[in-house]
Amino acid sequence: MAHRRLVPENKGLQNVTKLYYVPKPSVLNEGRGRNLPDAFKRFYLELIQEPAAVHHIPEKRKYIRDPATGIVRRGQDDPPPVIYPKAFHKGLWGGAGILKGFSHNNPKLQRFPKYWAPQYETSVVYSEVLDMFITTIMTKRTIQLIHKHYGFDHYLLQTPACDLKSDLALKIKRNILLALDKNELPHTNPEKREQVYNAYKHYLEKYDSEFIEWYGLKISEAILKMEFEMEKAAGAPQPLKVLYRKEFLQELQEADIKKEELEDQPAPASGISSIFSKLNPFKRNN
Amino acid sequence: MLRVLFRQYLKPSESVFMSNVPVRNKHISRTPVPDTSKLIPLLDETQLFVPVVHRRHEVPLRKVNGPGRKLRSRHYVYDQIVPGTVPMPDVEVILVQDVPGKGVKGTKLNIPGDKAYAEFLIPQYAVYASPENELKYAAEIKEVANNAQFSTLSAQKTALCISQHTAFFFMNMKNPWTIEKWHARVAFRQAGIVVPEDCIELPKQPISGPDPDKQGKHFIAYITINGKERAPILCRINHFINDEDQKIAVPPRFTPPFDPVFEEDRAQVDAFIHNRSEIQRFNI
Repeated sequence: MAHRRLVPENKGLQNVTKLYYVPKPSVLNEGRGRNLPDAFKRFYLELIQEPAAVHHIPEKRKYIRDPATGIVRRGQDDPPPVIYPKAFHKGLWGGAGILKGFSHNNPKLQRFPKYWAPQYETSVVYSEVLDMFITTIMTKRTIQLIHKHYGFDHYLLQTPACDLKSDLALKIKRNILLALDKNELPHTNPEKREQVYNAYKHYLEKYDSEFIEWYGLKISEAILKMEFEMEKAAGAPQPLKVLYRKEFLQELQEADIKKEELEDQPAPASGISSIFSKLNPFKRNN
Repeated sequence: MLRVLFRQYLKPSESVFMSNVPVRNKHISRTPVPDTSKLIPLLDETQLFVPVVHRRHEVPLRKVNGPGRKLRSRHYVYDQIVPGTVPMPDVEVILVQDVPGKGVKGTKLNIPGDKAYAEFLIPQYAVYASPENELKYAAEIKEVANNAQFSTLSAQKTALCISQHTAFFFMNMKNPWTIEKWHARVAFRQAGIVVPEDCIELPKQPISGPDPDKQGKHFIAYITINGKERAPILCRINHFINDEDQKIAVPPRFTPPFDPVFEEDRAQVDAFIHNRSEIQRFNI
């Protein structure tokens, strides 16, 4: 078996199949998004993970035995599809969305289409790091989650992006992380500022500064940011007239030098050659 | 054909259901409504106030690590799991400042989550009893008994309630008088406060009349609660006679001018009038 060790990463058939592997086209592979930095791709992968169960009781068992018949079958988790409307991104719903389906409470009648939505309330959240009160639309689940993590900032920083999901929550989290990373907290009292920074600085171990810079952006925003930075790195575009002027000046200078050289040369001795030289039509006039 | 056969062989009570209801998939539509109350204990705490559903018809098994099966319309028939009207689970908080009616600094309280959030945590009267905060406020938690400045929990709230009142002293316009404790007792009773005479504290200088200069003027008396809290109360002198022609109209409370009987009390009376809105607002 010694010869096998010489081959790097011998994974059998997997290596062969990978030769023909073409990744599925997505926003990050195609178009303007393909040049996005890895830091943003890491955030995007965090965002599209499967969220925690909110609207159903998850099936965690691998195999299930039927108590009546004793037959064993595989356990399978099928979460109901959830709708996240526009209003979801303007508030903090704690990951809860809207369900669309049928209710069939009376077997004698037909089933009826129905929407299930959580109860909303206008409430306030307080961010300790940003020292800011924010009035938003919330659900009771959000308040419970804040209690579970002992505070709004801890809730945002401990929860992955796939569970927060809403634009507002991700924006607030981004601002908190940026403030912590640059150590620019808006507190007026320096003692209080230091106290808050010390309470939250351990979260910076999980997020590095490049990751924070791209955290919580939408794809369109990330592309704009990338293109802006590329333009900035390339510098301001130079107009062509500057280039042409430079070339023209160089030409003039060269012409002057040649003239001077010609003048310095001694005049030809014979008169005949000078007459012929005047008659020659193919001669260049310098 | 089948329907006709069923009608012949089944009992009339059963056949009514079969014949009258026009449904396509009978084996699906006639599945009984499952009892979702058994699933309530499986719910997470955070799922109590969002709609949680259970599929009536199971989705067929997919391949191991394979893509999901295409769902049919019957897989969207849901039964909601309703836990009923339950209060939000309790949260433990530590008071950071004295809250009248609730406790002193350092007191630990167990309150329903939504109430704790709106009334204690957002106004910053309290913090969560997390392990870090328990270390931070360990000194305050130890000295709760020493910090107690009031006799009972409701005493401070009662004192605030009393100082919102104005007592009108209706004194005779013709017969001479000097204000005594029993006058004050009657005046407070008319204002809605029943107190024994030994709890009342009047100004040291005697106030006597009838005197037209003292009409509509103020002085401050004190009511002692449980021998500890001293609640100030604004009093106003009003001359009274049982003759319609000479009667003086009684103004509503807290109407200017706020002149004191004794000139030394002017600052105190002004402060009382100035702070009355704050007294009314601080009412948890």
